[in-house]
Amino acid sequence: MRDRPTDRDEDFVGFAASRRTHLFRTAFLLCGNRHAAEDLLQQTLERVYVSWSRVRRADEPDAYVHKIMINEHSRFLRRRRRESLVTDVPEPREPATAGSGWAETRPQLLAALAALPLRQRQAVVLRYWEDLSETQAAAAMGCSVGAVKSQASRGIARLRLAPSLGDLTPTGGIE
Amino acid sequence: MTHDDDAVAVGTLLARLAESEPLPPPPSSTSLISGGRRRLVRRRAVLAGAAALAVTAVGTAVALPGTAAHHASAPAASKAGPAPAKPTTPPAADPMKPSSSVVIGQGTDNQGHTWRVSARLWPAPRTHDEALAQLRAIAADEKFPPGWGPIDDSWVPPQFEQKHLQVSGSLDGERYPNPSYDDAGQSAATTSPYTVASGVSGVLIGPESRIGQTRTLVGAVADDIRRVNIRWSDGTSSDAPLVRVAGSTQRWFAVRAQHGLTGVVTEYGAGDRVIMRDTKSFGKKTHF
Repeated sequence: MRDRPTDRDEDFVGFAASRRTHLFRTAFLLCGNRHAAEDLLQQTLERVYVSWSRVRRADEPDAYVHKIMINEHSRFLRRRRRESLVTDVPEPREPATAGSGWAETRPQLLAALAALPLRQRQAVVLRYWEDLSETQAAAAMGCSVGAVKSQASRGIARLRLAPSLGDLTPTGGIE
Repeated sequence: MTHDDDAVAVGTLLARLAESEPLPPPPSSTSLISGGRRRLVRRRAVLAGAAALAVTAVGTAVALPGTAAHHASAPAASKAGPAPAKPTTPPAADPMKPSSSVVIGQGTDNQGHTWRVSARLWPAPRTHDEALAQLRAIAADEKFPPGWGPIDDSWVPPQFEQKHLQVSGSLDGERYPNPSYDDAGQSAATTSPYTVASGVSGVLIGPESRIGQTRTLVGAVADDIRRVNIRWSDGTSSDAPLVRVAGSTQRWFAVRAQHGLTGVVTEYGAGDRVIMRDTKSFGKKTHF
């Protein structure tokens, strides 16, 4: 017998619908590929459902959701770097070609982001994509503000090492 | 460039990156709610199990002759009959060493390189500390690259008491770090109406700097899967030989994938009954 939707379910579905686009993008930046991001989004929202009464009562529900997503993301990698489930078997690296447009920069940026150690990637995404303060990012990551500062700073430094990302100005590397 | 400039530049790049990715179809509210409810049920079951275990442990301590609680009555108990035979338990496998190692696929790629994928099964650790020590042993054994970061507590999964299957790829005899898999051997009931495959992953073998790494498809399927077929995007298809790894609850395979091709994996049970066919995200049929 199917369970009937409850008020709780309706509230939750409304919340999920309003957040899913942004959460998918956050998940995409954390995971580096869309299928893992879809899985991360699904698992995050399922966990939000489990904790819905707390999320709903929270002063900042989004902060709670960030924390859940970061925990879920860490779990992905805690599964001992289990390979992401992907549609395509990955293609090996191609030789560099001339040109420096977004089409070339995008995969490089994705690869550089994916190559960051877990905590650096999380710090960079939370600070610079989610635009969280250091305190908010620290709450989501469950670490100190100092740790967020250093992880984000190291993350940026490593991103600079990626080919064509040395100059991180929006017009310098991608246009 | 100042720190603020950095923040703006990185934020802009990340926004462009995230927003250039097409949005997937929205997760259905039914799947979210049913998934959430399954998690609630599992959480309650785990809590109930833990409580029952605690009660059993207390009860056992009270009831067992020879324990502190029954110390005074022990002589009387010993007069009642011969001492019960000591339970014999097999010695636990050493979690710091792989218990078995099997080649699950091998061949020669287009460039004439010999590739091989082998799997080593590491016994289940018993404690959190042992799980961490095992991860470090695996990292040393596999020569995990420095970019994967130090092996610390954050690597230990919540359900650490699982056997762990480490997949190693080698090219022309040289091993390269590869992903690994928990040998969970999940039953279908907890996750989906299907007999769930643990997963199928694309794995590149060879040094990252080498152009033209060998592409392989490595997977694990439930023990009741009898045949795995891969239909490649060029119209060809091939069966993946399934290999048992001693101690693993799943069957494993590794096949080479031609460059530029994607594959559709179909799993068959007894009598060639299709158990799962997945084109989107191998092994995750239940989502969306």
